[in-house]
Amino acid sequence: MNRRTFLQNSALLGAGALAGFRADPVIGNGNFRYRVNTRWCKAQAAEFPVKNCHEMVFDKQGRIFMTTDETKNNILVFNKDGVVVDAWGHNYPGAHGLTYHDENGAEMLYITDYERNQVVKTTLTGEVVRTFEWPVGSDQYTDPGQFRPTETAIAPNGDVYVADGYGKDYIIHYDHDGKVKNVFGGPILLKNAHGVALDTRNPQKPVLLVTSRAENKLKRFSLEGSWLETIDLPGAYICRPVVKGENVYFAVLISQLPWDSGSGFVCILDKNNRVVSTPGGSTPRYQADGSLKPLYQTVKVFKHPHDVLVDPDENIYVSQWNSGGVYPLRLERV
Amino acid sequence: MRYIVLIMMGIPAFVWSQAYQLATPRIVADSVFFKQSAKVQLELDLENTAINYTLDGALPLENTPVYEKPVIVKQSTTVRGRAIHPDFIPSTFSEKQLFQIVSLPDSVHLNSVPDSTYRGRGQVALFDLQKGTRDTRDGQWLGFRMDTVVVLEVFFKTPVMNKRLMVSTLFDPNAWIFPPAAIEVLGAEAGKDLKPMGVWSAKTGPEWKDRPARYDLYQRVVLRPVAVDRMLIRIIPFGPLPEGHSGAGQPAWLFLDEIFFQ
Repeated sequence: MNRRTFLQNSALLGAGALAGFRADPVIGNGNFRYRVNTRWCKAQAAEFPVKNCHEMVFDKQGRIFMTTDETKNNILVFNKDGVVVDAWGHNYPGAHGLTYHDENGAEMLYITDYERNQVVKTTLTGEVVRTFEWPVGSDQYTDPGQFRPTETAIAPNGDVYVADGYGKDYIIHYDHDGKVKNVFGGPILLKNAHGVALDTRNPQKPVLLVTSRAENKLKRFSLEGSWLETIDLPGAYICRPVVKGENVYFAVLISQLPWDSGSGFVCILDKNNRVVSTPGGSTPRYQADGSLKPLYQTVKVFKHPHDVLVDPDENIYVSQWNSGGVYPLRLERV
Repeated sequence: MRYIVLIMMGIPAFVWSQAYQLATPRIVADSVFFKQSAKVQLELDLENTAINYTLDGALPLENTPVYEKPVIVKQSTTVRGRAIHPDFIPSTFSEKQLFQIVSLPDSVHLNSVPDSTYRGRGQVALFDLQKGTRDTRDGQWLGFRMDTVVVLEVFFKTPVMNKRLMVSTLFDPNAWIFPPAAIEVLGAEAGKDLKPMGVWSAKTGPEWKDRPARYDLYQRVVLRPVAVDRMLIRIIPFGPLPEGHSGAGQPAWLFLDEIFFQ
């Protein structure tokens, strides 16, 4: 702040003291209400530029890793105060999905890159450990360009599930070494299979939660690839589900077409997969027949939220796609 | 965004507060085209939100009524609404046009064939008083992609004098859908030849790039005040997509969902 701005703002103080100042607003419903904090991230665009901020994960130390398709620093690493403590990656033009996996003490990242038509497994400092390639020899794929992966989920046995969300909408099931075991889902069952997550809320029977984004649905699949259940979430163009405790959190990219409508919000499901809170969105209401009234944006806190990350205090970090190069903000649970 | 300097206990502290704007309220009508009346609801389902509204096309500011319950309208009108909330910047206004239909043709004949993917429910869909949704495959929309003109004939058992012909079209430049270039209407008094009744032509400019998609675009042709029992409607498509468009030079799509008289 220069001296002139300081004086202008100081002049505002008198009026502000009379009128009161505007505190950061609280959004959300029921027990899941959050104060919007846009000051959490301390990064400066001149030093750590971003284009789209795609996805985020925690490591064991509580640092936040984030993918962006800006090849000056495809991975930004933040400490809990939002300060960039590491930045790496220059050759992930389609850096998108990001999954963390603790491999018997070795911490690994899985980066999906839809431009490279690959999933790349790296260490926390960016050394490449393995790549997962297009499913050569499968009935569904004839060309590496058809494979444009957006997300991964890692099973308890180390198997890797890859959502081909910008490709052919299949889920490709690899073993730990990258050998294809199964290809399921596909364009009949999934419309824009943008996200996949391991749902361990029933530890005896983990399942996959898969996004069918253009249909506004989440679909449960067995680890063997059988469809189990569909969860209707009208109005919610879901990016990826994030399971935390008994809840599922996700960013809703938009609530109406077109894809750049800037109509997104955040959504939280309870243990029965019913919507309990929609920060930035309309109040969730279930109708007499059990169906959910279509959700929509009510306040423009977000444009196109793309991922959520929930910390141990149940604050939510939100990264955004196509939103003017903004850094993640933090929703602080109140 | 703005900074506000607070001096607390002699220690300066900076509070950065960002003001957010409400989204526009939703306006839902049980029918956009109606014969007797239509029920209109306005909604922005966020605690402590109120909606100012108007039914005469005026700006819905603080001095206009606050929405409480569904409103019945009995004539063509433009509904506008604006949401307000103590913690947020008021929304921009939303708008919906509703049309009372008093004159329907007794029969119609569409002389042009829609594209095989977008046949909808055929010519019936153009006169069924049903507004198309944002899904162009919902059966209400008829899509044409050709250089030739869409030609329709409509017939009335007894001669009718209509003031206006309204054509409901769609604009979505990303989907290569543009409104027509022109609409010509010819009419015939009982037993006589067709004569020109009215023309509408588009005012197109380079600004198409910045305009959002519109699924509620109505072209209005003012008609000569004569009673006719037959009309010929010629809808001239946009033609080649303009310079700077990803499909520049290729023919634009034309989508129609309703044709009606006032």
